[in-house]
Amino acid sequence: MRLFDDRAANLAGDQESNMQISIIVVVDAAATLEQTFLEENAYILDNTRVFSAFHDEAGEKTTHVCGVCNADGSQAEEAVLNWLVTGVSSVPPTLPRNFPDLQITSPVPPPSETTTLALPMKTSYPRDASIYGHGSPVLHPAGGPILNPMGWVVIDPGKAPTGEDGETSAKDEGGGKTEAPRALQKKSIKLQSAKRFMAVAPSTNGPTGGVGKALTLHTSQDEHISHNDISSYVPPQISSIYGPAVDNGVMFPALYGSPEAKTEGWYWSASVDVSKIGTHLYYMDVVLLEAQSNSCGDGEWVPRTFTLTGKLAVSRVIKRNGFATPAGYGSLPLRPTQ
Amino acid sequence: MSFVTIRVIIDVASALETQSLENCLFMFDNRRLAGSTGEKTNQLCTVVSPGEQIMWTVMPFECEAYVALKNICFEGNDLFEAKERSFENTNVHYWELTTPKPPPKDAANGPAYIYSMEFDVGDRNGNVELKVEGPSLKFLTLG
Repeated sequence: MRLFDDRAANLAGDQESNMQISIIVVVDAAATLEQTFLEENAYILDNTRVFSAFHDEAGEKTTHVCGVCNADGSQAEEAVLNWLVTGVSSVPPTLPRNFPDLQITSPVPPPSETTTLALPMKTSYPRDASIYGHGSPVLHPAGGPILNPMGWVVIDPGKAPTGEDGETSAKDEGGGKTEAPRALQKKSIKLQSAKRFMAVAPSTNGPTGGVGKALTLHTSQDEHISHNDISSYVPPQISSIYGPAVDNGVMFPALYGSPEAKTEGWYWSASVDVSKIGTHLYYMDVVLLEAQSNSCGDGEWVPRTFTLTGKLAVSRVIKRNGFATPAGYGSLPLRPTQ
Repeated sequence: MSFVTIRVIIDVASALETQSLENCLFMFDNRRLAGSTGEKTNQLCTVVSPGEQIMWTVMPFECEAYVALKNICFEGNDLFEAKERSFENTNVHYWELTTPKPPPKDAANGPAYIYSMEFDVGDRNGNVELKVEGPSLKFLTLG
Protein backbone atom coordinates (compact mmCIF):
# COMPACT_ATOMS: atom_id res chain seq x y z
CA MET A 1 0.00 0.00 0.00
CA ARG A 2 1.47 3.27 -1.04
CA LEU A 3 1.45 5.46 2.02
CA PHE A 4 2.66 8.75 0.76
CA ASP A 5 2.15 10.82 -2.27
CA ASP A 6 5.17 13.01 -2.85
CA ARG A 7 3.27 16.16 -3.54
CA ALA A 8 0.93 15.63 -0.65
CA ALA A 9 3.78 14.83 1.70
CA ASN A 10 5.69 17.89 0.65
CA LEU A 11 2.63 20.03 0.99
CA ALA A 12 1.73 18.69 4.38
CA GLY A 13 5.20 18.93 5.74
CA ASP A 14 5.58 22.46 4.55
CA GLN A 15 2.35 23.63 6.10
CA GLU A 16 2.49 26.32 8.66
CA SER A 17 0.95 25.61 12.00
CA ASN A 18 -2.76 24.91 12.36
CA MET A 19 -3.81 23.87 8.89
CA GLN A 20 -7.32 25.18 8.48
CA ILE A 21 -9.58 22.68 6.81
CA SER A 22 -12.88 23.91 5.43
CA ILE A 23 -15.71 21.42 5.37
CA ILE A 24 -18.74 22.53 3.41
CA VAL A 25 -21.98 20.65 4.00
CA VAL A 26 -24.52 21.25 1.26
CA VAL A 27 -28.05 20.16 2.09
CA ASP A 28 -30.91 19.65 -0.32
CA ALA A 29 -33.54 20.47 2.25
CA ALA A 30 -36.58 19.91 0.04
CA ALA A 31 -35.43 16.43 -0.95
CA THR A 32 -34.49 15.63 2.63
CA LEU A 33 -37.92 16.55 3.91
CA GLU A 34 -39.60 14.66 1.11
CA GLN A 35 -37.59 11.49 1.65
CA THR A 36 -37.16 12.04 5.40
CA PHE A 37 -33.60 10.99 4.84
CA LEU A 38 -30.49 13.13 4.81
CA GLU A 39 -27.57 10.88 3.97
CA GLU A 40 -28.15 10.88 0.21
CA ASN A 41 -29.42 14.43 0.11
CA ALA A 42 -26.40 16.11 1.63
CA TYR A 43 -22.97 16.53 0.17
CA ILE A 44 -19.71 17.09 2.00
CA LEU A 45 -16.91 19.05 0.37
CA ASP A 46 -13.56 19.96 1.78
CA ASN A 47 -10.19 21.24 0.72
CA THR A 48 -8.23 18.12 1.58
CA ARG A 49 -8.34 16.25 -1.70
CA VAL A 50 -4.59 16.60 -2.06
CA PHE A 51 -4.13 14.39 0.98
CA SER A 52 -6.45 11.66 -0.22
CA ALA A 53 -3.52 9.53 -1.34
CA PHE A 54 -2.73 8.75 2.26
CA HIS A 55 -5.66 6.46 2.66
CA ASP A 56 -6.93 3.83 0.36
CA GLU A 57 -10.32 3.62 1.99
CA ALA A 58 -11.27 7.19 1.23
CA GLY A 59 -14.94 7.69 0.74
CA GLU A 60 -16.92 10.55 -0.64
CA LYS A 61 -17.58 12.06 2.74
CA THR A 62 -14.10 11.57 4.13
CA THR A 63 -12.08 14.55 5.22
CA HIS A 64 -8.39 13.89 5.04
CA VAL A 65 -6.47 15.43 7.89
CA CYS A 66 -2.76 15.38 7.43
CA GLY A 67 -1.02 16.24 10.63
CA VAL A 68 2.51 17.27 11.22
CA CYS A 69 4.90 15.71 13.70
CA ASN A 70 8.42 16.42 14.76
CA ALA A 71 11.33 14.28 13.67
CA ASP A 72 11.16 12.40 16.98
CA GLY A 73 7.53 11.50 16.34
CA SER A 74 6.04 13.91 18.84
CA GLN A 75 3.08 15.94 17.64
CA ALA A 76 4.12 19.27 16.21
CA GLU A 77 0.84 20.93 15.37
CA GLU A 78 -2.87 20.32 15.44
CA ALA A 79 -5.22 20.67 12.53
CA VAL A 80 -8.37 22.77 12.68
CA LEU A 81 -11.66 21.91 11.03
CA ASN A 82 -14.22 24.57 10.17
CA TRP A 83 -17.71 23.58 9.08
CA LEU A 84 -19.93 25.69 6.91
CA VAL A 85 -23.40 24.40 6.19
CA THR A 86 -25.59 25.75 3.45
CA GLY A 87 -28.70 24.73 1.62
CA VAL A 88 -28.97 24.27 -2.10
CA SER A 89 -31.89 26.69 -2.16
CA SER A 90 -31.20 28.88 0.84
CA VAL A 91 -29.86 32.39 0.83
CA PRO A 92 -26.18 32.43 -0.09
CA PRO A 93 -23.98 32.62 2.99
CA THR A 94 -22.03 35.34 1.21
CA LEU A 95 -24.84 37.77 1.88
CA PRO A 96 -24.10 40.17 4.72
CA ARG A 97 -25.89 39.13 7.84
CA ASN A 98 -27.67 42.44 8.10
CA PHE A 99 -29.26 41.97 4.70
CA PRO A 100 -32.80 43.30 5.13
CA ASP A 101 -34.45 40.06 4.20
CA LEU A 102 -32.39 38.10 6.64
CA GLN A 103 -32.10 38.94 10.27
CA ILE A 104 -30.81 36.43 12.73
CA THR A 105 -32.00 36.52 16.28
CA SER A 106 -32.31 34.08 19.07
CA PRO A 107 -35.03 31.53 18.61
CA VAL A 108 -36.14 30.93 22.13
CA PRO A 109 -36.76 33.45 24.86
CA PRO A 110 -36.27 32.65 28.50
CA PRO A 111 -39.52 31.19 29.84
CA SER A 112 -40.37 34.33 31.77
CA GLU A 113 -40.36 36.45 28.67
CA THR A 114 -43.08 35.51 26.32
CA THR A 115 -43.52 38.73 24.49
CA THR A 116 -40.03 39.64 23.47
CA LEU A 117 -37.22 37.82 21.83
CA ALA A 118 -34.00 38.19 23.72
CA LEU A 119 -30.79 38.36 21.76
CA PRO A 120 -28.18 36.83 24.02
CA MET A 121 -24.82 38.45 23.78
CA LYS A 122 -23.23 35.17 24.69
CA THR A 123 -24.53 31.77 23.97
CA SER A 124 -22.13 29.10 24.97
CA TYR A 125 -22.48 25.55 23.87
CA PRO A 126 -23.59 23.64 26.95
CA ARG A 127 -20.77 21.46 28.11
CA ASP A 128 -22.70 19.11 30.29
CA ALA A 129 -24.11 15.64 30.10
CA SER A 130 -26.67 16.73 27.58
CA ILE A 131 -24.06 17.85 25.11
CA TYR A 132 -25.25 15.20 22.73
CA GLY A 133 -28.72 16.61 22.72
CA HIS A 134 -29.27 15.59 19.14
CA GLY A 135 -31.37 18.64 18.52
CA SER A 136 -33.63 18.17 21.50
CA PRO A 137 -34.00 21.03 23.98
CA VAL A 138 -30.85 21.41 25.98
CA LEU A 139 -30.76 23.29 29.22
CA HIS A 140 -28.38 26.15 29.18
CA PRO A 141 -26.23 26.38 32.27
CA ALA A 142 -27.95 29.66 33.06
CA GLY A 143 -31.27 27.88 33.24
CA GLY A 144 -33.15 28.90 30.15
CA PRO A 145 -33.95 26.48 27.39
CA ILE A 146 -32.08 26.75 24.16
CA LEU A 147 -33.27 24.64 21.36
CA ASN A 148 -30.59 25.73 19.03
CA PRO A 149 -27.91 28.30 19.78
CA MET A 150 -27.60 29.33 16.18
CA GLY A 151 -30.80 31.29 15.81
CA TRP A 152 -33.53 31.15 13.22
CA VAL A 153 -34.25 33.40 10.36
CA VAL A 154 -36.72 36.11 11.21
CA ILE A 155 -38.84 38.60 9.36
CA ASP A 156 -41.02 41.27 10.79
CA PRO A 157 -44.53 40.14 10.02
CA GLY A 158 -45.75 43.60 10.79
CA LYS A 159 -44.40 44.51 7.43
CA ALA A 160 -45.92 41.52 5.73
CA PRO A 161 -47.95 43.16 3.04
CA THR A 162 -51.05 42.15 1.23
CA GLY A 163 -49.63 43.85 -1.80
CA GLU A 164 -46.90 42.87 -4.18
CA ASP A 165 -43.78 43.40 -2.21
CA GLY A 166 -42.87 40.40 -0.15
CA GLU A 167 -39.80 41.96 1.35
CA THR A 168 -39.72 42.24 5.09
CA SER A 169 -37.15 42.97 7.69
CA ALA A 170 -36.89 42.33 11.35
CA LYS A 171 -36.53 45.19 13.75
CA ASP A 172 -33.51 45.25 15.91
CA GLU A 173 -33.51 47.90 18.55
CA GLY A 174 -30.03 47.03 19.61
CA GLY A 175 -28.95 46.57 23.15
CA GLY A 176 -29.60 42.87 22.93
CA LYS A 177 -33.35 43.12 22.53
CA THR A 178 -35.37 42.56 19.44
CA GLU A 179 -38.94 43.69 19.25
CA ALA A 180 -41.26 40.76 19.20
CA PRO A 181 -43.01 40.13 15.95
CA ARG A 182 -46.53 41.41 15.90
CA ALA A 183 -49.24 38.81 15.77
CA LEU A 184 -48.80 36.86 12.62
CA GLN A 185 -51.86 37.11 10.53
CA LYS A 186 -53.26 34.74 8.04
CA LYS A 187 -52.14 36.83 5.15
CA SER A 188 -50.82 35.81 1.88
CA ILE A 189 -47.55 37.15 0.65
CA LYS A 190 -47.10 37.27 -3.02
CA LEU A 191 -43.79 35.87 -4.01
CA GLN A 192 -42.33 38.60 -6.12
CA SER A 193 -39.51 36.79 -7.78
CA ALA A 194 -36.54 34.60 -7.14
CA LYS A 195 -34.87 37.59 -5.54
CA ARG A 196 -37.03 37.35 -2.48
CA PHE A 197 -36.26 34.76 0.09
CA MET A 198 -39.05 34.45 2.56
CA ALA A 199 -38.73 33.47 6.14
CA VAL A 200 -40.87 33.66 9.20
CA ALA A 201 -40.53 34.40 12.85
CA PRO A 202 -40.48 31.71 15.47
CA SER A 203 -43.39 31.59 17.82
CA THR A 204 -42.94 33.14 21.21
CA ASN A 205 -45.49 30.80 22.70
CA GLY A 206 -44.77 27.53 24.32
CA PRO A 207 -41.89 26.36 26.44
CA THR A 208 -39.85 24.77 23.74
CA GLY A 209 -40.10 27.47 21.15
CA GLY A 210 -38.58 26.84 17.82
CA VAL A 211 -42.01 26.48 16.26
CA GLY A 212 -42.98 29.47 14.25
CA LYS A 213 -45.90 30.76 12.37
CA ALA A 214 -45.59 30.60 8.67
CA LEU A 215 -47.46 32.64 6.20
CA THR A 216 -49.20 31.01 3.34
CA LEU A 217 -47.25 31.88 0.26
CA HIS A 218 -48.81 32.40 -3.09
CA THR A 219 -47.13 33.36 -6.30
CA SER A 220 -48.30 36.30 -8.26
CA GLN A 221 -50.23 33.81 -10.35
CA ASP A 222 -51.91 32.60 -7.23
CA GLU A 223 -50.20 29.26 -7.41
CA HIS A 224 -49.03 27.54 -4.31
CA ILE A 225 -45.45 26.80 -3.58
CA SER A 226 -44.95 23.45 -1.97
CA HIS A 227 -44.20 23.42 1.70
CA ASN A 228 -40.94 21.64 1.08
CA ASP A 229 -39.83 24.34 -1.31
CA ILE A 230 -40.64 26.96 1.31
CA SER A 231 -38.70 24.97 3.84
CA SER A 232 -35.71 24.77 1.56
CA TYR A 233 -35.27 28.55 1.57
CA VAL A 234 -34.32 28.57 5.24
CA PRO A 235 -30.64 27.82 5.81
CA PRO A 236 -30.02 24.48 7.52
CA GLN A 237 -27.92 24.50 10.66
CA ILE A 238 -25.75 22.03 12.48
CA SER A 239 -26.89 21.67 16.06
CA SER A 240 -24.45 19.05 17.24
CA ILE A 241 -21.27 17.22 16.27
CA TYR A 242 -20.60 14.00 18.12
CA GLY A 243 -19.68 10.36 17.70
CA PRO A 244 -16.61 8.17 17.97
CA ALA A 245 -14.25 10.84 16.71
CA VAL A 246 -15.32 13.04 19.60
CA ASP A 247 -15.59 10.29 22.19
CA ASN A 248 -12.11 9.06 21.41
CA GLY A 249 -10.54 12.47 21.60
CA VAL A 250 -9.69 12.66 17.93
CA MET A 251 -11.36 16.03 17.54
CA PHE A 252 -12.75 18.62 19.91
CA PRO A 253 -15.67 20.45 18.30
CA ALA A 254 -17.32 23.57 19.61
CA LEU A 255 -19.40 26.48 18.46
CA TYR A 256 -17.51 29.68 17.91
CA GLY A 257 -19.04 33.07 17.39
CA SER A 258 -18.25 36.15 15.47
CA PRO A 259 -17.28 39.01 17.72
CA GLU A 260 -20.05 41.05 16.17
CA ALA A 261 -23.03 40.30 18.32
CA LYS A 262 -25.62 41.42 15.84
CA THR A 263 -24.49 39.11 13.11
CA GLU A 264 -24.18 36.08 15.34
CA GLY A 265 -21.68 34.43 13.05
CA TRP A 266 -21.85 31.08 14.72
CA TYR A 267 -19.93 28.28 13.18
CA TRP A 268 -18.62 24.89 14.23
CA SER A 269 -14.92 24.40 14.55
CA ALA A 270 -12.75 21.63 15.95
CA SER A 271 -9.11 20.99 16.62
CA VAL A 272 -7.79 17.55 15.75
CA ASP A 273 -5.32 15.40 17.66
CA VAL A 274 -3.33 14.24 14.68
CA SER A 275 -1.54 11.59 16.66
CA LYS A 276 -4.73 9.51 16.41
CA ILE A 277 -3.92 8.07 13.03
CA GLY A 278 -6.66 6.17 11.26
CA THR A 279 -10.22 6.62 10.07
CA HIS A 280 -12.77 7.96 12.53
CA LEU A 281 -16.50 8.44 12.21
CA TYR A 282 -18.46 11.42 13.45
CA TYR A 283 -22.06 12.51 13.20
CA MET A 284 -23.66 15.85 12.56
CA ASP A 285 -27.19 16.73 13.55
CA VAL A 286 -28.59 18.99 10.89
CA VAL A 287 -31.72 20.95 11.73
CA LEU A 288 -34.16 21.95 9.03
CA LEU A 289 -37.28 24.01 9.52
CA GLU A 290 -40.27 22.36 7.93
CA ALA A 291 -43.26 24.46 7.01
CA GLN A 292 -46.43 22.68 8.00
CA SER A 293 -50.08 23.52 8.36
CA ASN A 294 -51.65 22.64 11.65
CA SER A 295 -55.22 21.56 12.28
CA CYS A 296 -56.36 25.16 12.56
CA GLY A 297 -55.03 25.92 9.13
CA ASP A 298 -52.22 28.05 10.49
CA GLY A 299 -48.76 27.61 9.15
CA GLU A 300 -46.11 26.36 11.48
CA TRP A 301 -42.37 25.89 11.33
CA VAL A 302 -41.37 22.61 12.88
CA PRO A 303 -37.69 21.91 13.48
CA ARG A 304 -36.65 18.56 12.04
CA THR A 305 -33.32 17.03 12.94
CA PHE A 306 -31.52 14.67 10.64
CA THR A 307 -28.21 12.92 11.11
CA LEU A 308 -25.35 13.00 8.65
CA THR A 309 -22.26 10.82 8.91
CA GLY A 310 -18.81 12.13 8.22
CA LYS A 311 -15.38 10.60 8.39
CA LEU A 312 -11.96 11.83 9.30
CA ALA A 313 -8.93 10.07 7.89
CA VAL A 314 -5.97 11.18 9.99
CA SER A 315 -2.40 10.76 8.94
CA ARG A 316 0.77 12.69 9.48
CA VAL A 317 4.15 13.56 8.06
CA ILE A 318 7.33 14.96 9.51
CA LYS A 319 7.51 18.70 9.72
CA ARG A 320 9.90 20.18 7.20
CA ASN A 321 11.29 23.56 6.50
CA GLY A 322 9.63 25.07 3.45
CA PHE A 323 11.54 28.31 3.34
CA ALA A 324 14.58 28.88 1.17
CA THR A 325 17.36 29.33 3.66
CA PRO A 326 21.12 28.81 3.57
CA ALA A 327 20.49 25.64 5.52
CA GLY A 328 18.33 24.37 2.71
CA TYR A 329 15.16 22.37 3.04
CA GLY A 330 14.87 19.49 5.41
CA SER A 331 13.42 18.25 8.64
CA LEU A 332 13.09 20.69 11.46
CA PRO A 333 14.92 21.81 13.49
CA LEU A 334 17.56 22.91 11.03
CA ARG A 335 21.14 22.95 12.01
CA PRO A 336 22.53 26.45 12.38
CA THR A 337 24.78 27.52 9.53
CA GLN A 338 27.98 29.52 9.75
CA MET B 1 -44.52 27.81 -9.03
CA SER B 2 -41.17 27.17 -7.48
CA PHE B 3 -37.84 27.96 -8.99
CA VAL B 4 -34.66 26.10 -9.66
CA THR B 5 -31.60 26.97 -7.65
CA ILE B 6 -28.15 26.04 -8.78
CA ARG B 7 -25.38 26.51 -6.27
CA VAL B 8 -21.81 26.64 -7.47
CA ILE B 9 -19.11 26.14 -4.86
CA ILE B 10 -15.49 26.76 -5.73
CA ASP B 11 -12.26 25.83 -3.98
CA VAL B 12 -10.59 29.12 -4.76
CA ALA B 13 -7.18 28.28 -3.28
CA SER B 14 -6.90 25.13 -5.37
CA ALA B 15 -8.17 26.90 -8.47
CA LEU B 16 -5.51 29.57 -8.12
CA GLU B 17 -2.83 26.97 -7.47
CA THR B 18 -3.71 24.88 -10.49
CA GLN B 19 -4.97 27.78 -12.65
CA SER B 20 -7.90 25.56 -13.46
CA LEU B 21 -11.38 24.78 -12.19
CA GLU B 22 -10.83 21.07 -12.73
CA ASN B 23 -11.71 19.30 -9.47
CA CYS B 24 -12.24 22.70 -7.89
CA LEU B 25 -15.81 23.47 -8.90
CA PHE B 26 -18.86 21.70 -7.55
CA MET B 27 -22.44 22.24 -8.61
CA PHE B 28 -25.71 21.39 -6.93
CA ASP B 29 -29.34 21.96 -7.75
CA ASN B 30 -32.69 21.32 -6.09
CA ARG B 31 -33.97 19.03 -8.85
CA ARG B 32 -32.17 15.80 -8.01
CA LEU B 33 -35.41 13.98 -7.32
CA ALA B 34 -36.79 15.21 -10.63
CA GLY B 35 -33.89 13.62 -12.49
CA SER B 36 -30.93 15.98 -12.39
CA THR B 37 -27.59 14.23 -12.67
CA GLY B 38 -24.02 15.15 -11.91
CA GLU B 39 -24.57 16.62 -8.45
CA LYS B 40 -21.29 17.62 -6.82
CA THR B 41 -19.50 17.73 -10.16
CA ASN B 42 -18.85 20.41 -12.76
CA GLN B 43 -21.07 18.58 -15.24
CA LEU B 44 -24.39 19.10 -13.56
CA CYS B 45 -27.37 18.41 -15.79
CA THR B 46 -30.38 20.20 -14.36
CA VAL B 47 -33.90 19.13 -15.17
CA VAL B 48 -36.15 22.11 -15.83
CA SER B 49 -39.69 22.87 -16.92
CA PRO B 50 -40.91 25.42 -19.47
CA GLY B 51 -41.30 28.93 -18.14
CA GLU B 52 -39.35 28.17 -15.01
CA GLN B 53 -36.93 30.51 -13.27
CA ILE B 54 -33.42 29.34 -12.64
CA MET B 55 -31.07 31.04 -10.23
CA TRP B 56 -27.30 30.54 -10.04
CA THR B 57 -25.42 31.53 -6.90
CA VAL B 58 -21.72 31.14 -6.24
CA MET B 59 -19.82 30.73 -3.04
CA PRO B 60 -16.15 30.10 -2.25
CA PHE B 61 -14.87 27.47 0.14
CA GLU B 62 -13.44 30.11 2.41
CA CYS B 63 -15.33 33.30 3.15
CA GLU B 64 -12.10 35.30 2.75
CA ALA B 65 -11.62 34.19 -0.84
CA TYR B 66 -13.13 35.97 -3.80
CA VAL B 67 -14.89 34.43 -6.76
CA ALA B 68 -17.52 35.89 -9.05
CA LEU B 69 -19.53 34.45 -11.90
CA LYS B 70 -19.06 36.76 -14.86
CA ASN B 71 -20.93 35.05 -17.64
CA ILE B 72 -23.20 32.16 -18.49
CA CYS B 73 -23.18 31.32 -22.16
CA PHE B 74 -25.22 28.84 -24.16
CA GLU B 75 -23.08 28.31 -27.25
CA GLY B 76 -24.89 28.57 -30.54
CA ASN B 77 -28.22 28.84 -28.81
CA ASP B 78 -30.23 32.01 -28.36
CA LEU B 79 -33.13 30.32 -26.64
CA PHE B 80 -31.62 30.89 -23.25
CA GLU B 81 -30.43 34.22 -21.96
CA ALA B 82 -29.07 34.46 -18.46
CA LYS B 83 -28.89 37.84 -16.79
CA GLU B 84 -26.83 39.07 -13.91
CA ARG B 85 -28.60 40.55 -10.93
CA SER B 86 -27.62 41.56 -7.42
CA PHE B 87 -29.28 41.23 -4.08
CA GLU B 88 -30.67 44.59 -3.16
CA ASN B 89 -28.13 47.02 -1.73
CA THR B 90 -25.37 44.46 -1.74
CA ASN B 91 -22.56 43.53 -4.07
CA VAL B 92 -23.54 39.90 -3.96
CA HIS B 93 -24.58 38.85 -7.42
CA TYR B 94 -26.56 36.01 -8.87
CA TRP B 95 -27.64 35.00 -12.34
CA GLU B 96 -31.14 34.22 -13.39
CA LEU B 97 -32.78 32.81 -16.46
CA THR B 98 -36.33 31.95 -17.41
CA THR B 99 -36.69 28.87 -19.57
CA PRO B 100 -38.71 29.35 -22.74
CA LYS B 101 -42.39 28.61 -22.71
CA PRO B 102 -43.47 26.80 -24.77
CA PRO B 103 -40.30 24.72 -24.78
CA PRO B 104 -38.18 24.31 -27.93
CA LYS B 105 -39.60 21.90 -30.47
CA ASP B 106 -36.90 19.33 -29.93
CA ALA B 107 -37.14 19.43 -26.14
CA ALA B 108 -39.37 16.39 -26.08
CA ASN B 109 -36.52 14.21 -27.29
CA GLY B 110 -34.47 15.21 -24.33
CA PRO B 111 -31.42 17.04 -25.62
CA ALA B 112 -29.26 18.73 -23.04
CA TYR B 113 -28.59 22.41 -23.56
CA ILE B 114 -24.96 22.83 -22.61
CA TYR B 115 -23.61 26.04 -21.20
CA SER B 116 -20.32 27.45 -19.98
CA MET B 117 -19.56 29.63 -17.01
CA GLU B 118 -16.77 32.17 -16.69
CA PHE B 119 -15.41 33.29 -13.35
CA ASP B 120 -13.12 35.90 -11.90
CA VAL B 121 -11.13 34.02 -9.29
CA GLY B 122 -9.08 35.50 -6.52
CA ASP B 123 -9.75 39.18 -7.05
CA ARG B 124 -11.98 41.59 -8.86
CA ASN B 125 -9.35 42.78 -11.31
CA GLY B 126 -9.77 39.88 -13.68
CA ASN B 127 -6.23 38.66 -13.14
CA VAL B 128 -7.38 35.09 -13.14
CA GLU B 129 -10.30 34.25 -15.39
CA LEU B 130 -11.33 30.63 -15.47
CA LYS B 131 -14.00 28.88 -17.43
CA VAL B 132 -15.89 25.64 -17.13
CA GLU B 133 -17.91 24.01 -19.89
CA GLY B 134 -20.27 21.12 -19.71
CA PRO B 135 -23.10 21.79 -17.26
CA SER B 136 -26.43 21.67 -18.98
CA LEU B 137 -30.17 22.10 -18.78
CA LYS B 138 -32.64 19.46 -19.82
CA PHE B 139 -36.37 19.75 -20.11
CA LEU B 140 -38.44 17.39 -18.05
CA THR B 141 -39.84 14.74 -20.31
CA LEU B 142 -43.55 14.49 -19.82
CA GLY B 143 -45.63 11.40 -20.39
